[in-house]
Amino acid sequence: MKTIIYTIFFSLMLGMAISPAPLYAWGGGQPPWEAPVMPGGKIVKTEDISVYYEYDQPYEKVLAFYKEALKNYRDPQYQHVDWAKFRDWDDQMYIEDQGGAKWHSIGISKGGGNKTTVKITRDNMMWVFSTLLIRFAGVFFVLCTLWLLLNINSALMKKYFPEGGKKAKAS
Amino acid sequence: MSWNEIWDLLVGTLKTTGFPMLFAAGGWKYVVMWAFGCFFLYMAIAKDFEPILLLPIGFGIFLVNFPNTPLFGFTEGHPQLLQFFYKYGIIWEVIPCLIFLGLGAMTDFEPMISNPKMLLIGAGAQLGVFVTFTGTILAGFTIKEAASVGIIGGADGPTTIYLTAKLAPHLLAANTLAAYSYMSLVPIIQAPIMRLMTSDKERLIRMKIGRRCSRTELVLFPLICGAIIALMVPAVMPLMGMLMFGNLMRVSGAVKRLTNTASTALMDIVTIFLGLSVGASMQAHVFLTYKPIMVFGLGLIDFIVCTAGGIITVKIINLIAKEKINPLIGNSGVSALPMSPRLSQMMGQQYDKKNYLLMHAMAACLAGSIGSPAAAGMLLSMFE
Repeated sequence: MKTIIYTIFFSLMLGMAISPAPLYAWGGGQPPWEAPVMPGGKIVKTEDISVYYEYDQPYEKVLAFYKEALKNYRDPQYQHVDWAKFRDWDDQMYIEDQGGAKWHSIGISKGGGNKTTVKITRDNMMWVFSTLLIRFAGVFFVLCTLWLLLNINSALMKKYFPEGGKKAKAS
Repeated sequence: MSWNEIWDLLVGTLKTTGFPMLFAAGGWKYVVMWAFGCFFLYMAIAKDFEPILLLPIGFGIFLVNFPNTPLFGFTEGHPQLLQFFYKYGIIWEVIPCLIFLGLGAMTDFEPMISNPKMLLIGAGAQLGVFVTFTGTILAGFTIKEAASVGIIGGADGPTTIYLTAKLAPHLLAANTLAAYSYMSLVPIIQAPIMRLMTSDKERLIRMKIGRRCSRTELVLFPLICGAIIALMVPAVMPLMGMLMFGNLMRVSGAVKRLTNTASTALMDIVTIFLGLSVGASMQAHVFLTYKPIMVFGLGLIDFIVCTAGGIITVKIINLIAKEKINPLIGNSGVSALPMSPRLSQMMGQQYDKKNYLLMHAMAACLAGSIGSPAAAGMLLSMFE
């Protein structure tokens, strides 16, 4: 009886996870994937996951447009949480979507004088896989560092305080 | 007093009760939540299933799901009773950190310090955290929600609460319940995976008993571990700092009274507030949506993959290491203490009555309790 109940419970849970009704066609859709686009630009390049717009406008003006366009892009439940994360990099202002939009990032190039390129990238599994791989490797790195330091610590203890490091018998 | 006045008084009084809202559209949701609350109370009281947590959670659910009760809202801008516990305890991240303080004061890290190789199992068992993240995004969750659901697989309640409160507070109740439920279902979920992924020969591997550590070594551990976490994943330092502080109090032996308080009275007090707050956050309009319900399914997959991740890590270590590790302790890489190590020991003895895996599994489990916050830190850094 117990087995039947557990089987039903787990099948239900797994079923719910595997076949969710709102399973999104993640990373699909057409450019610009619902991202705001500043008027007056022309598409100069299109890739599978990105589209490039060029503007005869200085960087500051394009940035001002995006800041305005995304100022209300917030978590509806927690109004203080911005879903658009602005990262000021050397070569571009990188705007990352942390909400549920179909676009993943908007990159506004810097240093082009009166020419500014905006690269809009859609959600893509490559980004998800790479970020997760790096972070999983990061966990290993942290614990491996701890492992290394514990080994050094243990070696030092054995050398300078030998009475503490007695070997126990094998089972 | 005229009839009109009496009628007005009666209607006015009726409006202050919960009945009008209960019978209004959507009132059925309250009834569903009472059923949820009573189910948890039944499991805690009648079935002795994680009663310390499920009883306050169940009653918290029951309390807040009556209309017009001044418990989880705000009165003139001031938080009401359970909202007060929730806001200052959970949202301000005080409770998970205090629980880690108590856990540190209760935990003996010696099995892991004497065999630091086990740290790798704790890292490998975080596989599910990252795999589920992908699945959760595909299911339509936002990145922050996906990160908070992913951490369930680490089977670390306080870390789950800490991360969820930071990233997706509306999933707090679902994530916490999923984490604690799957922790208590360890024998049912992990045992078949362990059988499936190990051969008879592997199950018979015997492991050497670890050495005893000196007091100095034990005292140095919280300092070393604390420093590494502070430098590499500072985002989770509130949790790990408290864990290490609790452990330092314990191993130093200098503050026995404080250690005793942290591991008993303080833990109990904090658990009461934690349970009530988490239960109270399960209000019908927040909980009865598709995302919290899906969390349970995704969390299960997460837990399964984390278990598999720990076992696979042991197998990889065995390809290189001279001294082989019994893969039956791989499941303990998730930090479900003490259920996972107990399961490793029981399964090991099913195949060899003289095989004692408990302390090795404990070491892996302790590694998991460091690996899980490290994974949370990695996820948090995504949003810095």
